[in-house]
Amino acid sequence: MKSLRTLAFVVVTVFLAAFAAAAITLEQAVAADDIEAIKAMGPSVMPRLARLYAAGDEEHRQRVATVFYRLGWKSEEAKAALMKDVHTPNQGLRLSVQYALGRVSSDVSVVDVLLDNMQNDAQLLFRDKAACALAYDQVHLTPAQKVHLYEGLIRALDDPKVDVRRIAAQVLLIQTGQDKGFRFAGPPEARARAVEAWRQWLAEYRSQL
Amino acid sequence: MAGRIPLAALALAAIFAAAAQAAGPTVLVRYGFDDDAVETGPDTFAVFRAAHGRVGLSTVFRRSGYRSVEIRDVPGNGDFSELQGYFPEQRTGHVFAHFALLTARPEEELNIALAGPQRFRLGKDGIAFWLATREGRFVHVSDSIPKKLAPVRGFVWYEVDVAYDVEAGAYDLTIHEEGKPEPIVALRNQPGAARQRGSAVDVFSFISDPTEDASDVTYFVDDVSIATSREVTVPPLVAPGRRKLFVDAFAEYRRTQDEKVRCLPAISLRDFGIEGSGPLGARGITLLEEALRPGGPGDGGGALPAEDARGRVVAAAAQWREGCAALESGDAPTALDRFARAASSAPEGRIYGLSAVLALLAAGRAEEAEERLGAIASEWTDDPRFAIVAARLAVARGDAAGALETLRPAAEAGDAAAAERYYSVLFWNRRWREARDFAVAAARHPSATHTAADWLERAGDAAFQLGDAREARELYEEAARSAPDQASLFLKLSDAAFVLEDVESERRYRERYYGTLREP
Repeated sequence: MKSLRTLAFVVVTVFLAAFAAAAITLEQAVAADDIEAIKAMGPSVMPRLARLYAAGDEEHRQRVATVFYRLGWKSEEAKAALMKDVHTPNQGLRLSVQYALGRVSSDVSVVDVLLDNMQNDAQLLFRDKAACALAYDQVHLTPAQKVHLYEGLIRALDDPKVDVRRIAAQVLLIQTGQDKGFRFAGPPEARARAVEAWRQWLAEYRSQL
Repeated sequence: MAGRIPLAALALAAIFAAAAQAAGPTVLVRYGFDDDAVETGPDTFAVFRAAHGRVGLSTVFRRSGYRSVEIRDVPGNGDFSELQGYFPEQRTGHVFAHFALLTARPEEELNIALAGPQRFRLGKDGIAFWLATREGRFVHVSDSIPKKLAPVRGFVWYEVDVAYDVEAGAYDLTIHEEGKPEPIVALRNQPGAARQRGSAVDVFSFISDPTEDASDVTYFVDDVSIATSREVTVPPLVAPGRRKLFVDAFAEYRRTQDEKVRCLPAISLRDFGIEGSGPLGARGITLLEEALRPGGPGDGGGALPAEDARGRVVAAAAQWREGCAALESGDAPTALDRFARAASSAPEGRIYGLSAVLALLAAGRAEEAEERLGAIASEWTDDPRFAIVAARLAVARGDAAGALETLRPAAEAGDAAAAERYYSVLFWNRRWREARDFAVAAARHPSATHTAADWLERAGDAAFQLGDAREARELYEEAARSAPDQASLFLKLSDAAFVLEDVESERRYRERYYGTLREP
């Protein structure tokens, strides 16, 4: 009986040591920007990465956000952690968070917050980079969620700010390969005709769901 | 409206194409995978086999004959299995595509596309036709909208016919299910994938799931044909998988410089400092293609996070494209400025330094050009474009005979820069025998410890030009022994083996690059 308890103790000790070693390895991999090592750990590492993100300062959070971006694995924990910084004034962190969000989630709340940043953020840079995130990083969206994204972009074509109209049209062009004749600085009547063409297109898209 | 061409028409096209002066339609490529015409190469197709996946010949299922191609992928491996085929670019007329398809797992995604020089992105000259299976149904992407078609059944052959009207950017699509007399899909005049008029096509792709990496598909493809309504002459394959040998590619580069100083083409990601497509990823590749497109954005890298190293690579490529446009229009100072900015952003991109040499040459600053060329020589020794530029420079600095006289003593004494220039002038002036002898001597020179392989490759090039493929092969093989990863050597070895009718070696060397449908 004593030998069994000893064995159990050894097993538990080894297990805990291995667990501790793994945790250190993840932190080291993040610190070293060793994305291949993190990939080798598999998607189950995402909740731990989210905790690492939440525990760090802004510089550290930016580093982990970039790791999320490069991994591209869906994770509710990662999304929740990143969403807390989606309005941060820290430029580097904000851009990394905006880019990473779409790559860890399949969620219209992410689309909505990026659309809001694209249209309403006080800084042109943040608006512009939110558009970039909408153009390239919404990699997990379902077809219905894509309709939601397109709806928001088409609505932004009517924005009074020229730069918002420009970047919204650019996102639509990247997403669909088309512009439907929309010119962001064109006369209002011509823009209205193009927006109507986009709306008809969206109706057809929706009908295919 | 795209006129429908039934299978019989394709069959007829195939027969007519056999004649040298065929009246259209013309078959551009056709693969039944039964005969020996399954050689990969730049003018046939390439095979990308993902880890744990498969792209290879199969006798398990076939629509005709006794073989098809099996494409299998597994999710989460970060890679995709793909059969990607090439045909001469079509910018007018109708393009007819036919293939047979059987999937073992209808619920798993697969994708098939016809695309143009912008490759697999939505937009002009990108994807023109896109058929997929999603959640057990056929789907075609038309007008940028995934549109549902008929359900897909497992282990049933489907015959797919597409008649794509290039100018209209629209197509007819017919899908027949094995055992059913009526088509399960019969669509007319559908807008192309991104509703783009005049969207050219020159490539087809059978792939698993290139975005989510979630597909566990296994499917089979047979009887692939691509034809055009136009009466065109398709150059014959001069060797397995290719319509020209590397020596012809060299001649083309040279012709570009004969007229005036202009950029030499970028031919690989390595030119931009990228080793393989992995580091760029699909988005990076898209941005790079966008940056290189005439009229593309000036700062494609701005679409990436500031800390993303791909951003500066893409931005540098955009600068390079602008520089080339300036050089083409005779504005050497602007070209030089753009190449300098590109090199500053992405110093690992070797094309920027070479292009700067050309811009200096165009600006009449031959001495500086020579200095720059010397500084980048070590990055280019395995590439014929370097020889072109070096020779162009040598000739620009004076008459060839004078240059040779001046250079010879230093070159023979082991001065690396003089040797490079001396060889280049010999090669430019088609003095192959002297070029070969000099390169062999340079390879044996005590100072050539680290450059022996490069000199042996040059000697092989000259020997090849002399018509001595056997000697060329020996020289390339000797070079390869000390530089086993030098890419250019293996395509040249493939050419030499072809000329020497060594079928096995030709195939072995070529397939190191383009993959194979045969089991490794």
